[in-house]
Amino acid sequence: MIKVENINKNFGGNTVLKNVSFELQPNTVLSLLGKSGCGKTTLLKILAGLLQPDNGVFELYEQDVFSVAPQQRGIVYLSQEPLLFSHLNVFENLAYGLRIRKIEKTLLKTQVEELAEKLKLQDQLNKNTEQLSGGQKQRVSFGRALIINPKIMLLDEPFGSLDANTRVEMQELFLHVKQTINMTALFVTHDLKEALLMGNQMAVMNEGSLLQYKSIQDFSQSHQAQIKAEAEFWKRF
Amino acid sequence: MIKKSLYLVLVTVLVLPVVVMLYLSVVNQWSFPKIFDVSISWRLWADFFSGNTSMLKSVLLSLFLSTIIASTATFFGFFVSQQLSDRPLFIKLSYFPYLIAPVVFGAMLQFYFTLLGLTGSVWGVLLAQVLFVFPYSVLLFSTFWNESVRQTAFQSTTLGATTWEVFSTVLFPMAQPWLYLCFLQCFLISWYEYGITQLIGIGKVETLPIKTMLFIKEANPHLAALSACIMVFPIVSFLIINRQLFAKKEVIA
Repeated sequence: MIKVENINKNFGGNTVLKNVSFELQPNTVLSLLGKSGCGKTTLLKILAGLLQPDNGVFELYEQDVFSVAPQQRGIVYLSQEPLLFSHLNVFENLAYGLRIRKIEKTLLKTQVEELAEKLKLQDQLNKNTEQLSGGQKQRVSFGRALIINPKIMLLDEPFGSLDANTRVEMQELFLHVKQTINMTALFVTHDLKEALLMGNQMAVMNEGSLLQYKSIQDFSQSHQAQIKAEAEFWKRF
Repeated sequence: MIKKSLYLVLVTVLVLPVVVMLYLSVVNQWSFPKIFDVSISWRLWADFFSGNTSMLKSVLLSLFLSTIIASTATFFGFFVSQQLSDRPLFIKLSYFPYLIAPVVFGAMLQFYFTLLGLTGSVWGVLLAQVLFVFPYSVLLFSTFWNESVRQTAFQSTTLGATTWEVFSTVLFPMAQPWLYLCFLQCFLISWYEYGITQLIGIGKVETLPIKTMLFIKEANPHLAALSACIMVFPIVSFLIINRQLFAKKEVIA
């Protein structure tokens, strides 16, 4: 069980996070929906260790996480930009986390190749990152995180910079990977449809406050008007 | 055609002074207007390489100073600029040594260096030049430390890399062109530096530019030309290395 309790964060007198609390079951994806500037990214950066909270609790299987260094948390943060290592090719980007962990060469090669096949990157392994399309870059970034089997993945609008077709392709891939491996993730998005599609659980963030719903049905009921409006829009075509 | 002609003019303008210097360094008793009516001798070059003159000592001293100064400025500039990247005031302050002439900067330092007993010593010149070159390194690296680099470094941390691993496996390789350029520029600034060396070295520290100016003051065009030819050597070397590096990268790409 992952538990976040009463996290607060102020920047120069501005309250960015107000008593943020939520729970996340292992092997589930919590979609966090919210407008730009509502504090979603700040929350993820705090959980990943890039920012310090003013106060609050973050427990992973009853162990305090805030006292653990970011590199030892087993929490990978993925931003909207793929941020690949431009001096390494696709294979080395995917293998990065394993090399850090000094995994034996043959095993490393097998793991990278298996993952590359899952992510449909098997033909791209020797390419430089500049030679990849936006979707392929995002897949490499996703794979680089997946390969180390993180305890939690923090996905900060990971498909936000992709075109509509690639975005759908990546959503399908994410769902496929989610089903094949036991992934625990916090998926941040401002897109209602994407939030519903990706998550097993739902939460909404507004002006620094977070509201977690017990189930997708609960969320649907309280956001009926919004969901109806979205459905009506698509019916028009 | 025009492009080719302009290219030719540019090459001539750049190469001609070096050719003239080379010519002056191998002629005897050259005097205007007898430009070509001279005898050729490699005596000055032979003396230089045999170490019979003090010029070789000056070259080695300049090499030593420039290498240490460029290495120090590049190494510390990389880390200091990282710390100052979100403090724009300090970055702006780094422009200060370049808003005033090096001689004025040297004169400002001279008082403190005299108090500390550093004038007239190699270490004094070394420290003064580091103070002059270091802000340049900070300025150059401040263009490297952008948000994307910071985020990439953090990405590496969340993937499990320690601070040292973040630097050795991500930041240093990513910064390689900056590190190379910074070292090269700092080396050249120090290699050609005259004003500060003259003021802090008070004539006792004879680097190559100081020596060249001495030959010019002595009205010895042949030794001054030889000295100038040697001064150009690092630029030629860097150009050749650069060309080979780019050629290699093109082959890899």
